[in-house]
Amino acid sequence: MMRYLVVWIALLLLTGLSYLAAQLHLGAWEIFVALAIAAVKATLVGLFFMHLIEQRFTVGLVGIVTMLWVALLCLGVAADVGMR
Amino acid sequence: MKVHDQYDSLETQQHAARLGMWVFLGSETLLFAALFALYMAYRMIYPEGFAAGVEHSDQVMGTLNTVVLITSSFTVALAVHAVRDGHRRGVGWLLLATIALAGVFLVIKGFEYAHHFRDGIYPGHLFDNDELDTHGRGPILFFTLYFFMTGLHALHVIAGIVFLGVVAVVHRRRPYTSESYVPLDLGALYWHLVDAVWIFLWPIFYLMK
Repeated sequence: MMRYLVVWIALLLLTGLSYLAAQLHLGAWEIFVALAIAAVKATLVGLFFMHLIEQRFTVGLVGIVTMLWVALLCLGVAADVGMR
Repeated sequence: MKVHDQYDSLETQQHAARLGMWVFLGSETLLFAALFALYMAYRMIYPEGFAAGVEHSDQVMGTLNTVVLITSSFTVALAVHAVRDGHRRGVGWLLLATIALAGVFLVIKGFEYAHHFRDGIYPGHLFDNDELDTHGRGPILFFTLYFFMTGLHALHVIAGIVFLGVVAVVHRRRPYTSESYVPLDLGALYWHLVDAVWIFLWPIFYLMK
């Protein structure tokens, strides 16, 4: 119970932090900060709400492989568009 | 709960169900990832037009929806927690709260869409907004992706409502127990994924000016 409450509050705080950061006009850092905070939030959801932390490794492996494919996809697209 | 022939134990059987759900969620993630990659590609080509599009989004409504969805993830996590701890009462209410929050999310999204339509912001060639048209083709691509990605996400929200609704009805008839709650667990997993996707949709459409 406590664990979920803490994660929920952390998610709300991170949402507030992300909102505030967006008002600061950080320039080139803005995109990085927004996505980094989103990644932390998604990790919290995955580990605690979705119980990844207590599952067998095979379940975590599916998550890891998914993230690898996402990274590969984004890298490929970025390289393609960026080098035109 | 019955253990089917192909499994050694209940634990293995439930692990298989959970693993299958995770593989499905992985494929769902990749479906959205393709669209995120498309967003990235167009944002690299039209940085100024995309910034103008984000500027035009309703940041307050978007942020409110983020809070709503995160809270709904919390309530469904509590429902699973309650069942695992052997409680039966309260689970139905937590599921109902989750579904209600999902409804609130859709209503807020609907108001946002209505706002956009009033400003002449539609997907594709229907786009007709004089102010944004001064920024070239970028805003059109931005809002086409906006409608497609948030629309696809909204369909997932509806699917989640149905999934959790069925789980709630089943629980009312024959309450889940700490030994047997796989459908509730899988429904909650699905709902958390819907939440996680929105966690990324929020910055790219509302924050990154």
